Amino acid sequence: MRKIIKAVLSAALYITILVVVPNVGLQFLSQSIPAEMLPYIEEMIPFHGIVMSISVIGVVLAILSFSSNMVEDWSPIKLLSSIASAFVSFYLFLLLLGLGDPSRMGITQLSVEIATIIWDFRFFIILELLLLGISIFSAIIKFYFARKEHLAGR
Amino acid sequence: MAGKSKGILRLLTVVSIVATLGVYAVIVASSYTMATSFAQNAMGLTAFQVSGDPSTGITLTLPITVRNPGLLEISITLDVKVLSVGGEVIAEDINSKRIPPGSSHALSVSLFVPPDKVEDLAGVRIFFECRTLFDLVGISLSAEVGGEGPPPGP
Repeated sequence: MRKIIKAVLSAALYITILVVVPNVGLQFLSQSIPAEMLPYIEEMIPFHGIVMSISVIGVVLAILSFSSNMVEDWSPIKLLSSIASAFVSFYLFLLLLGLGDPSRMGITQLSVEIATIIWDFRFFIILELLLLGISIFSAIIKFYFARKEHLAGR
Repeated sequence: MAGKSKGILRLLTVVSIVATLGVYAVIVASSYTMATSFAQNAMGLTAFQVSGDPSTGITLTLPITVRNPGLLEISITLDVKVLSVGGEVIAEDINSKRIPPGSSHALSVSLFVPPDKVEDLAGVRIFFECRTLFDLVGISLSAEVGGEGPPPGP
């Protein structure tokens, strides 16, 4: 019972942060910006597309988190869910840095009439890759010890 | 064996948490530094001063006071090019400065347009870059202020 509550709560957290909050934020933004300016801003930053992508990622992370919490530590499902979660989180980071386009890999360009603004955040991607590596390594080690203990106890 | 594995797992958890917090602290601190410095300093990029006479040549000066309201040291680069009607570079000046957090410095570029090129003067191309975190991340602005005559004065 405790396991189910933990799994549901962790999934609900992802849904709240990545699905509810961005969609509510988008609604507020749409209401606070003059309607005639919206297409112009949307042309520069595709807010609707970004929020839609974040929501899909939120649902995927919630499912992965739920499945990961429902199984034992020694289960391969737990290992696969943890690794998949790490990759999906990395993709989310790329998506946010690229303002909706993960293929920009940290270099984002915004053109406004005569001016062009370029963000160079490639180093952040290297840092995030480091975290991805640590997450995967950590998941493998946890799985290895849990599996070893499980097999020894049989 | 169980105690050893528990120790390794605990160490791994600590390393993972410290790395995650460290990476996000670096991302937040450098993003804040870049965003505030860029927003404050990019505003003064249109304050050109024009001196001299077309018969003897004119001097365009762009003096700005660069502030660093952020948390980390920033490196500011200002590159200004005077363009001819055909898009060729008539004059160019680059200046850059490192500014510690909380302080401000004067930065200026000065460009001399010879008398035979004054007639040909069509516009100015400005490149302004703000980098931080040992120049690993940054935001840059490229803008072309052009038209029939010389760029607007102060």
